[in-house]
Amino acid sequence: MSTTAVDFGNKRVVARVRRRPPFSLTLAASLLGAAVVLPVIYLAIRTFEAGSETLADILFRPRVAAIILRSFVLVAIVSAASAVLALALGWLIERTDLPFRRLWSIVTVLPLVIPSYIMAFLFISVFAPRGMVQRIFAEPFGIQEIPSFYGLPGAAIVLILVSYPYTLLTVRAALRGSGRALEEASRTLGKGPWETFFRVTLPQLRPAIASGSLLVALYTISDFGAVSLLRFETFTWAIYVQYTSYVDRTAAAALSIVLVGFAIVIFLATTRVHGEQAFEETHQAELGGADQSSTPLGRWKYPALALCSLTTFVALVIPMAVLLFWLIRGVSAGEELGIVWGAAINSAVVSGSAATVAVVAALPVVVLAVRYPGFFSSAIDRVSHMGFALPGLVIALALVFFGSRLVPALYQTHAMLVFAYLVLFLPVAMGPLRSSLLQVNPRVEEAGRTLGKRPLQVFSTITIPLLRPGILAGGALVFLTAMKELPATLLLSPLDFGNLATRVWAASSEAFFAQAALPALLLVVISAIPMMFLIGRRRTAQA
Amino acid sequence: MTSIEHPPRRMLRCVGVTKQYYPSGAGAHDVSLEVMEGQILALVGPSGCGKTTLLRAIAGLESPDEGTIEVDGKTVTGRGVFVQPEFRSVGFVFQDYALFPHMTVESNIAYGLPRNAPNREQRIDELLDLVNLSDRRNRRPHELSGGERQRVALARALAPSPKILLMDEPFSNLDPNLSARLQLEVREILHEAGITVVFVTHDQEAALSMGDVIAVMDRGRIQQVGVPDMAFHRPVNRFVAAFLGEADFIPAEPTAVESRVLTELGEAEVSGALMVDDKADMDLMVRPEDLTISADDIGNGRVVGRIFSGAFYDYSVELDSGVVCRAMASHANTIDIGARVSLRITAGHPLPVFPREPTLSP
Amino acid sequence: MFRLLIGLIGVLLLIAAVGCQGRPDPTATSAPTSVPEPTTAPRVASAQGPGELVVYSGRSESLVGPIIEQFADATGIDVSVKYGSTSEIAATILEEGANSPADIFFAQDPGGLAAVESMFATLPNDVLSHVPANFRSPDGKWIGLSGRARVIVYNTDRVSPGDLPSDLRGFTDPEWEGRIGWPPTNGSFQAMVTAMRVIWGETETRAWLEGIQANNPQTYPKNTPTVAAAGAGEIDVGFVNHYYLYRFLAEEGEGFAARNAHLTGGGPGAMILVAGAGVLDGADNSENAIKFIEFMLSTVAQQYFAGSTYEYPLIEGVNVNRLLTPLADINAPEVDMADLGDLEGTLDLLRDTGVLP
Repeated sequence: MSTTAVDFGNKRVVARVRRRPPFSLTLAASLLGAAVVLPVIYLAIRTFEAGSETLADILFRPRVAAIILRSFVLVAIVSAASAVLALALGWLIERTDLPFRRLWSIVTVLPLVIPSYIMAFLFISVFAPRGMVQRIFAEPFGIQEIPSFYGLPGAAIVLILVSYPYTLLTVRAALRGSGRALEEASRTLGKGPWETFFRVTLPQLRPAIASGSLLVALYTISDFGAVSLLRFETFTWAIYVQYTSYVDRTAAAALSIVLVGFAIVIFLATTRVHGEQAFEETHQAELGGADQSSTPLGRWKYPALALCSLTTFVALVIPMAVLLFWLIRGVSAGEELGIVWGAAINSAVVSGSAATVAVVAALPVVVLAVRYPGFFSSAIDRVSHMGFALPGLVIALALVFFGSRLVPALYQTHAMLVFAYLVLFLPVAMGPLRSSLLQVNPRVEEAGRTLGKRPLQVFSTITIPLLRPGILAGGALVFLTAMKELPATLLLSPLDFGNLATRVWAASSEAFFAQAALPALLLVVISAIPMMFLIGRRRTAQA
Repeated sequence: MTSIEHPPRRMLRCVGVTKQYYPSGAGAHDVSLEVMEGQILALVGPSGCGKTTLLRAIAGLESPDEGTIEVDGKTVTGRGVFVQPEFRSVGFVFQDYALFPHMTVESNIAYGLPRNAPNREQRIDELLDLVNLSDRRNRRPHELSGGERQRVALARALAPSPKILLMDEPFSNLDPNLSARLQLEVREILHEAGITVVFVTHDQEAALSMGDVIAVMDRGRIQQVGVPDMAFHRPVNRFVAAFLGEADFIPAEPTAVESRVLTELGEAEVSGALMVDDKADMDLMVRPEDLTISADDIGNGRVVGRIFSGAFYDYSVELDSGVVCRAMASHANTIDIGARVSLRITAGHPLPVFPREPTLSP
Repeated sequence: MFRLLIGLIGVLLLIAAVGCQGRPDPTATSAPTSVPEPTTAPRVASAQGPGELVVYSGRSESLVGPIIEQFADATGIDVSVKYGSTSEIAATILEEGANSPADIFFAQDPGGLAAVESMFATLPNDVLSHVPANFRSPDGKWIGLSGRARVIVYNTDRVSPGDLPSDLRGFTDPEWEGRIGWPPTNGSFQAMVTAMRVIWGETETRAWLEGIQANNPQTYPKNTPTVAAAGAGEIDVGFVNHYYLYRFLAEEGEGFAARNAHLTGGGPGAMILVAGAGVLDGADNSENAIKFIEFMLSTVAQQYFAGSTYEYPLIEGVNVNRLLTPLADINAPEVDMADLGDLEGTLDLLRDTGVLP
């Protein structure tokens, strides 16, 4: 029900450094911090087994500087464009009378589940200089070649399309959680809708945009699939090249360490925005009345619909149409497709476990960071983001290294795979949880204490139920992200394990397009289910 | 009303409680006070005077830097002890009520009752009845009006039968009419429950009307503790005098009679002994209702302002010496602004005097 | 609109259900049963039973899954497989070190096998003798299981086979400016460059790489997108392994506008490479691993590689797929596998010339 929370105004209660956090909380967060720092330790081991000369030699190769610059440009463009797109879509879906809002609210999130290398491959087959589009227009218009989108434009577009939902979901949650009172106040003070948006709504959304953009930026720097196919040489691309060269694990590790530094810069840049710790206290205001009203779009309805349709068309309909085309072409050519149900169940089970574990694990870190701000809690907070910033292959190899040595009994088990997902996707769960927790009035928890309940009882009976929107959103994001994860799934899963992502990869890498299409489509379809569940909840709450 | 036959128990005792916030310096300084069983103590003071800090320290939501707090004779804070809030048997009504938004009225109230408590259902019914919300038991907090939420918060805090109930600005989020009505209702409920209460407010009217005892705080320190009319009529300093009601200070001189002083408005009886060292520099405190105003062409002052407040006119009069003071008068005689008037002290009871504060003179 | 979406999803699920009535799939058959419990059962080969085998495969399940399953069926051995790309699997084996659960590494290219060569046991001579000496490690650490030819894939609308130069050196000519595609991070490509250094010498190889660079080649991450680009006409020619083309022809039909050409002049551009396997030193199931290799070199398996994956069989008496040019007709250079070991030198050269970062 708090998903429908609308309020009369936000009250800022300045956080005070209060009693020390409970020991159990500190312990849980520390253990988690230790777990997620494993990959960095591995990288340090691999890097420093080489001498400093070798290291300098690797890092000062002539192309490294250019690659850093390119990665930076790509991250900046993708995060900024995703933020703009997410802001526009989020505002339309949450705040206006846009037609078919429920449909848009589901389909605009789904591109997240399409693996970047699939999205890139599909885009190439459609939009390459001599792709499908060119072939369609070749006959009537005599177009020989359409402009190449290889390099920065293609990589940026594909990465925007597969990562903007991170920002969209956080922005939507923030819009839902914050009331319209401030916006209405601004209108009554003589400010037009645009000025109100830029001077009131936007500043309110800054923390949400920042936490979404952090995920987008980290996803972008750690992506290999899109940049390799679209030929834009970034840092992660360089790291992968070292691994594909077989001999150069040291160089890969050294470059990854640089990437960690890069990620810390991004992290600091985005967290400066919500550095000012303030509790955005949401009042549970009356339903109905003016607060439920939405901005009428009027004649802007058509451009708004066009934006939603275009985004969905490009990010979801085109990829799915091409996949369907492959599938139908393969089936009609008599190709045998093979059963994918087992793979689908595996995908759902491991992604579901990953979502559950990641949310549970993220709770202590987030509670510590929000309720007990300080050096220790922000250090753990920061470390937790490393996994998402590093290429999946690096994390996977780090866990291969530690797993096979330290816990051979758990190595290559489901538990190990879920642990890998935890290390990779912890920050994905943390973002929505943090936003949710910031909206829970600390007084409500204190009220529980004064009514005779132990801190853990208060946490489970008060805090957890109030965090439900964040828990669901965080879990959904982890689920969607884990559905398409590849390197850790391949290397750390049990022997003989196969899921939709590995099947899509196995088939597409050897040009079995029809065989790749079926699991790829199922990936999207299965991912739509948790989204509909989330949206369904919202609907009943509104009714 | 409860009648207490045995000697009253001391339910709350604070000694030297200090909690300072850095860098603002706000907080409570060396606060000591006691509350007897069944009493309602109103802790009143301007915003930021440290009253909420003190309340939170009593509840165990803050740990003070210094001082001890005892509840019903047991130390809960200080002397190396810090009892967690859930074990203090202290109820708390928060300023914004802090109702659990995901629970119904009934579940909110039931929250603090142990699951296996005998007569649990009965107790809930009782409380719903007490706060007159039986027909709202299945509503959620966001479906309630402000006053209803306030009463849910009260019932919830009362449910576990705490030894002390702490209320933080319980009426500040309500409109004035509702607030006034609820104050009476709540006072009734509290007395009926026979519970010991400390409530914090910045509204002196609420404090005066609800408190059996009031404690006035300023800048982290307790200024005066006493029954309301004593505090109102015999404030110990200018701050208390001015905070508890409209008050003007008129220069006064001693007369031959020890208990009387002379002012521009005539002679007045002074409460208690004159606790002023340099008797040449003292002010007499007068409240608007202590003065009588009448049109008089000669008079001793001139009307400079008039506010219509329903039952009365509230006049501002500039005396010939330049001192401005206020007087209340009924509708019977309306005096225009600018008219000369005669102002007289007609208090009928002794008035307090204070040493003149040089900083206060304009 | 909402209902429309639900309807759409229903239709897709239906398609999925219909699509599933094909051949059973090794992943799926084992997957559901393995979901709840982790595979931690101790891998102790019982004295009587056929025992177990853990295969790390750098070759795709789409290609080798069926034949591995045939091996399991034929021998009764309980085979478990981990699939990944050859380089990822090689890195995994190196990270696992002595703790590796793997018994055998089935790799896509000699570079991957060479990377973990130090961890392989020496294979018995009778096994090694199945294939010609140039298709196995000189130290007997690994052995080729199927062959693939380096070819030029060309777009049939823009290039006719007659226009192609007789050997790779011809592509440095400015007439090929902007028309070439290559995957320089690919293992087979790097093996080809190593062969160039052996055959042509360091200087000429460097000159060739610089010459191609001067023609602004399009860089692809792998063979598959290179062949796709040739088919789409994005590039006119690409330097790839031969068998990817046949997958595209199977998917897209004869209309796919690309074909392979074997360079008539021979040289490194026409060399034959192998996919192969090595047995890990100290593997729990080394006997079964040897059985695996012997099975893959059996007529049945070699027939499978020829028929289903369009590869070249490495043993006598198995017919080459009729779509392929017979090995005898390819002017392949004589390259000693022992000389292809210097991958590091090749990578240095590729970095020096700016082909790799």
